[in-house]
Amino acid sequence: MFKKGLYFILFGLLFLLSGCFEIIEEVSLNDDGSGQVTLTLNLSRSKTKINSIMLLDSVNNYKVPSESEIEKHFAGIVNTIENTNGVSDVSNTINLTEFIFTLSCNFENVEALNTVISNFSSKEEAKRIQDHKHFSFDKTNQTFTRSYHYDIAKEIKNTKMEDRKIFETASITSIYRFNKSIISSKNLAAKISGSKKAIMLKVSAQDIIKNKKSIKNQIKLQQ
Amino acid sequence: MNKFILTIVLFASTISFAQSLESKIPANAKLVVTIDGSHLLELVPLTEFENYSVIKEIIKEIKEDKPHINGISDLGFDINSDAYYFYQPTDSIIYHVGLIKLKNRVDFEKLLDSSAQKKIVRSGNVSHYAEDSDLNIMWNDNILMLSGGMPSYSYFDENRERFEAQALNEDEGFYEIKNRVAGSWAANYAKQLFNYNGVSIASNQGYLKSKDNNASATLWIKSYGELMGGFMSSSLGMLVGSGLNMNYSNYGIGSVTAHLYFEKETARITSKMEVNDRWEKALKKMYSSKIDPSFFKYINENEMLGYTSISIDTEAFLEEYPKLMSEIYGGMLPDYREESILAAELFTLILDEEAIGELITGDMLFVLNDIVDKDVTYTTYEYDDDYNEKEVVKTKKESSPDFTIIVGSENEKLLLRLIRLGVKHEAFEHKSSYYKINLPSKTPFDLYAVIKDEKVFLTTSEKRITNIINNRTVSQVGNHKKIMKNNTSVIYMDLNKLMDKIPESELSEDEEQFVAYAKDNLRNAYFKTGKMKGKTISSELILETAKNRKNSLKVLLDFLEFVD
Repeated sequence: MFKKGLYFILFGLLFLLSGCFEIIEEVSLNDDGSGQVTLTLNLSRSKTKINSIMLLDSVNNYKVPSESEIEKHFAGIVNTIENTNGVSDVSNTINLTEFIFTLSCNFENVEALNTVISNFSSKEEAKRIQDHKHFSFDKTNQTFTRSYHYDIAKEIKNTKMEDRKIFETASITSIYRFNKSIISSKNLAAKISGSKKAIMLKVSAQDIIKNKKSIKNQIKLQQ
Repeated sequence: MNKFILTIVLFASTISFAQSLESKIPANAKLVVTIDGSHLLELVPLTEFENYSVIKEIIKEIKEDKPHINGISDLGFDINSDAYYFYQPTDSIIYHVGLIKLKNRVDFEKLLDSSAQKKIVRSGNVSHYAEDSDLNIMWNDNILMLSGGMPSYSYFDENRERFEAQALNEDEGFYEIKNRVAGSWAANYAKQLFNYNGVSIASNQGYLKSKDNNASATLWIKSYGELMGGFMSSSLGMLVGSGLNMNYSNYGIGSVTAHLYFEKETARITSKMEVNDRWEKALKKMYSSKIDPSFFKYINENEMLGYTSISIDTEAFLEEYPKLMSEIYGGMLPDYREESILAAELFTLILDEEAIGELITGDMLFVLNDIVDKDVTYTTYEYDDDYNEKEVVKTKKESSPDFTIIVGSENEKLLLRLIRLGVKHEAFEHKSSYYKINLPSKTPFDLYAVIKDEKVFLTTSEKRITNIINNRTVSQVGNHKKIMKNNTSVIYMDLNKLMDKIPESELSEDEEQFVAYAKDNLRNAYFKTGKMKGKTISSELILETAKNRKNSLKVLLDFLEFVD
C-alpha cells in the first residue's frame, strides 16, 4: 500500500480525513555524511475537519484514534528511533490544537537516516526502504540522492476513490542543506537557493500521482 | 368433439396459468415483493431504458457469449408483467423464490451455457436445471421460477446426531451432509412449487389489501415479529448459543406494507406497520400531541435549508415506553419476564414523568438556517532566500452550520435555575438578555441560548437570538405547517438550496458536477412519520424531482447514468 510507505504512517488515518496536509522533510548534511533531519506533518489547514472527525469512532471504515492513542503511537516511534544505532538527540513535538507533528534527530550517516524513515512504515515496507536506500550519499563523487521505490501513481490507483480524494490538495516539500555549494540537481522542479547551499523542492501530491513531478533528486556538490 | 373440448380446456387453463404467477405463491409465504414491469415500462419505455450506458454495458457483456442478444427483449422474459419474490421459511430450511413470466422459452434457454443446457432435465413441458444444491431453475413456456434453500442453522445443529448418522461415507462431514440434505429438500420443494395448485397468497386478505396499481413495487410482510423470529433463530443461529429463548411473535408488530411510487414530480416510498392492541394504546398516547403552533412563529421557509420537527407527549412517553418495553422483552424473553417488569417499575419509580413532561414537553424543532462562511486561521510555513523556515498564521474560509434548536418547556423556573448554576460554573456566559454557551474551543461555531414563551432557544447566530428576544422574527411557514401538524416527526431538506451552499473549495471536480446535476434535478426531500391511525402507523419518504421532466423514475435513472 502506498499509504504504508509514506512517512508518518501512524497518521495514515489523519491523511484520510483531510484534504489539506503538508509533509516537510528537511535534511542538513555535513561533509562527512552525518547530519540532522526534521520531519514535519502539518494538518493545520484541515483542523476543523479533524476536530469534527475526532468526535467519531470511525470514518470510511478506518478507526479514528483518540488524542492519547495518537500520542502513544508517536511516543512508540520516537522510542524506536532513540534506540536506533547512529541516531542521537531525538526530539519531537505534538500540537493537537493545530495538528502539527514534528520529529528531529541527528544521524551519523545516511544509513541511519534510512532507518529513521523506515520507522514510519510497516515492517515489510521498512525492509524495502532500507534495501532501496531512500537516501544515499556518495562521498567520492559528492552526490546526494533522494529516491523511493514506490510506483505511487499505480498504488494510488489501487486505493478507493473516496480515499483518493485526500491527496488532492496535499503537498510534499523537501529542503536539503549542505556546507558545500550545489553544482547541479537532476530534478528540474527543485530550486537552488541564492547561497547555493540549500535546495528546495515542493510538489503537490496530485503531480506525484499523475507522474508529472517527483520528489526524487540527485544533487551534485562541489568537490 | 371431446378432443376439441379438451383442447379448449387445456388452452384456457394455460392462459389462466400464464396469467397468474401469484397462484404459485403459497398462502403461508411470509414476505412477498412485487415488481410491476408494465408500470415501469410505461414510465421509461424499453428503448429508452436500453439506452442507459449501464444497460448497454450489460447487454454488451452478454452479447460476447451470446451473439444473438441485441436487447432485453431477446432474453425471453415478459418484462411487461409483474415479477415476484417471496420468502417461505420452515423450521428446517428457508426458501427464497423468484417468479418471472417468460415470453419466449427458447430465447431464455439460449442464455444457459452449453454445459448447463446438457444438464437440463425435461419432463413434458417443464424443464429443470439445478445450478448446484443452492439454486433450482424451473420453467415452462410461460413461467420461470428460481428458488434457493438456506438450511436452518438451529435445526441442523439441534439434530446433528441424527444427520451425522445419515453420512453416505466416512468422508462426508456434517457440513456436506447438511448441504446434501438441504439440496435435495430444495429440489423437491422447487418441483412441488412449480406444480403448486393449492391455496395461494391471493386468498390472504392482508396481502390483497396491500396491492396498489399505482405502485411500481410493493413489499408485504405478513408479520414483522414472526419474520424477525424466524430470521434470528434460523439463519443466524446467534441466539441459540446465547441461551436467550427469544420469542419474536410476542414482539407486537404485525404486517408491514411498503410501496414504491414514481410519479411525475416525486419518487415516494410509503410504509405502513400494523401493531397489536398494546402498542396501539401506548403509541396513541405517546404520539397524539400536535406540535405547539407557537413554534411556527420562528420558521421562515425562505431562510432555511431544512428542518427536523418532533412532537411527542414526553409524559406519556416516559410512562408508556418502559412498560411497553418490559412487556415486549418479557414476552420475547419469557425467562426474564420478572427482571424486565422490575426494571420498568424501578424506572418509573425514579422518574417523575409529569415533572419531566413539564420540563421537556416533547415539541422539538431543529432548523438548519444556513451554511455560512467563517474565517479560520491555520499554521503553515514560508521560506526565506536560503529556505529557512518561518511559521506563519494564515486565514481561510470554511463552512459552518447556522442553526436554531427550539425545545418546548413549561417549567421555565427550573430551567433558569439550571442556567444560573451553569453561569456559576462558567458553562454559560450571561450576556444582556441571553446566554452564550462556552463550547470547547475546537467547536467551529458559537451557541447562544435564551428561554422565552415556554421554549428554550439555542442558535448559532447572535443576531437571531436578539431577534427572538425582541419579537423581530419573520414567520413564513407555508405548507410546512400542515406537514408538521399532521406528523409525529418530519425531516425536511431543500436539496436545491443545500447543494448551493456546499462550497466549491470542498469539492473535487467530479463532485462539483454531481452537485450541479443534483441541483438541477432534485428539489425537496421529506421523511415523515405519521400519527397512529387505528392500529397502523405510517411513514413516507419523498423525493421531489425536477418539474420539467417526463417523470421521477426517468430523472433518477438519468442521475444514475450521470453518476456512473
